[in-house]
Amino acid sequence: MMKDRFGAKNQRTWLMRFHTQTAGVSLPAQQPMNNIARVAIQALAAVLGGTQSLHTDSYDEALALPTEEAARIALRTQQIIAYESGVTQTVDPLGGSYFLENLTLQMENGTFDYFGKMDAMGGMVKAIERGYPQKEIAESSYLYQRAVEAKEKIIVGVNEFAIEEESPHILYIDESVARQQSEKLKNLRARRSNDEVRRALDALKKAAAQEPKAAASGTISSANTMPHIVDAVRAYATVGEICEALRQVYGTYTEVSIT
Amino acid sequence: MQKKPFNPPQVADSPIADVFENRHPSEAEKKWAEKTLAPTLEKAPERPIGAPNGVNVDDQGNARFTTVSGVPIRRLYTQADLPTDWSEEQYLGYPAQPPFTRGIHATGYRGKLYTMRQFSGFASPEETNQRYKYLLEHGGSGLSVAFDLPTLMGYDSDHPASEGEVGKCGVAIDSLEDMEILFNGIDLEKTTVSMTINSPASVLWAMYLVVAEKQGADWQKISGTIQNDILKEYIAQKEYIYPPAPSMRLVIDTFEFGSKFTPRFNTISISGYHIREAGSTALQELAFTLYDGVEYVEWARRRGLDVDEFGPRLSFFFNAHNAPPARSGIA
Repeated sequence: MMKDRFGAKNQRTWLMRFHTQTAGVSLPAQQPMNNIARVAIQALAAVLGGTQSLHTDSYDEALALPTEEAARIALRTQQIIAYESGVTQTVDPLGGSYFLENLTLQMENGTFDYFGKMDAMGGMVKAIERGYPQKEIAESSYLYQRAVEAKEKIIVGVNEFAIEEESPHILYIDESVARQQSEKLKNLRARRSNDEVRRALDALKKAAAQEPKAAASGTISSANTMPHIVDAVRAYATVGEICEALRQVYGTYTEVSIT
Repeated sequence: MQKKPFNPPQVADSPIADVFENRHPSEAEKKWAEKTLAPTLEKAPERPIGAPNGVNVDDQGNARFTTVSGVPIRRLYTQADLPTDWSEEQYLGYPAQPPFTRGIHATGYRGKLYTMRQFSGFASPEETNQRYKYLLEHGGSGLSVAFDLPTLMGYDSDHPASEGEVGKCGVAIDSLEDMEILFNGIDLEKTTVSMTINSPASVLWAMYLVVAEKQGADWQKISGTIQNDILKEYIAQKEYIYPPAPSMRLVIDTFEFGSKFTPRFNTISISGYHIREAGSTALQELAFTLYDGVEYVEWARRRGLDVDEFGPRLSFFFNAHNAPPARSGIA
């Protein structure tokens, strides 16, 4: 793609590095310990797929933020795959599998079909503005949900093999964090130079309003917002203040209706 | 209605018809289907996994099998399921060589294991800092920051819109001060950090860079990833602030800045994960995500950036669902 479509010459540009996370959506709240098995299977798939980095979900993710124990089991699952399963000992162990190579080709062909459709729409931003990918996803999601409700797709412990159970121990975050953060903000605004913050934010707004163009090699566009954001951060401007400055220049977005 | 000019051979209503459809079985496979498979199916018909209706049966009433994405799965895959011109040299190649189907490292995981990067963040920066130290002590090899909803939406913790959400789904970060606390005692030149932040990505990244600098780390050496993938926010995750065009401009600003000042930092992680979480199929996840990649490259080129300068810093992020491992080396 990078080579054929964009004329990239560097092989580092052609290759794809990717991170994988196991599917949070596949982890139900019912019988949450079963999720340890699901995560292990999904993580194995990611490693067999050649991922460069991996996040394994904690089994209690559908309920709340992971407890320390759940976070540790998730990490241990990765370690068992890396150090015990044996799949890391040989390069791409499933390469050449008839099944896998057939699926890979189906994915590749299907992907290029979608590319053709979205090229015809004038690119992804245009496709989003007319709700195309949103509509495609909503339809797939509906078909899957319908199959689950009809028990045509089985989710163990949810629509089959369900049991009565008590609610498990979960990590609960109370409002004290909000109070603590608000207190810190109050102190910060009293301590920092608010003039300096204002100057940095004004400079950011000015740059944000201009059209950036790549300059001669060795420098970056004079209207690039990053150096101004770095200055604002150094002056201890807050996330809210910097985003508000950009909201004033760019406005906010409301989604197109896809129905 | 015009009649179809061609009817499949005598096997049309046979339970082994699928062996002959849209593929090119060898003589040996045909013989196996007739001598071994057919009698077995007659004695013990296949049973679908799940209720025997809807997606689980074909129009002849035979069991049908599909992936979680709804892709039909055959009983048996053989050479007959690959294109007639299929060869290892042409379709697979070798590791670390184009088309990189067998991976990007010649030695796979033998030289370097995957990075075990556990996504976490909750409550205050002080508490999250403790969790990070815990994960690193237990053999985690990278960090991955989850921010709370107000931070993701560009609001401070004391803004009215933040009420009830501060620190709930991730860590609350309001200023450089919080970022300093978050990475206190963690050497940013040695640890790679991934940050799940999109619309306000440039702000949180700037904070990270300043913290690294204050630690004495060299921007040329630090490595990590900001998600910074605004397109999938409009497509699936819905945590956007500004309209698409200015949002894209902010992303390209980070590409340009990064390629000059932080050459080892991944300025984007083009993400299919959330698209899949929103209910897409595996194919839609792959297609929309790679096409998002195309869009970023188009915008960067319009800015006048060299594809070989920022291209190597593009990284991707996919979802591992309950399905066979899909090959992804086709960028």
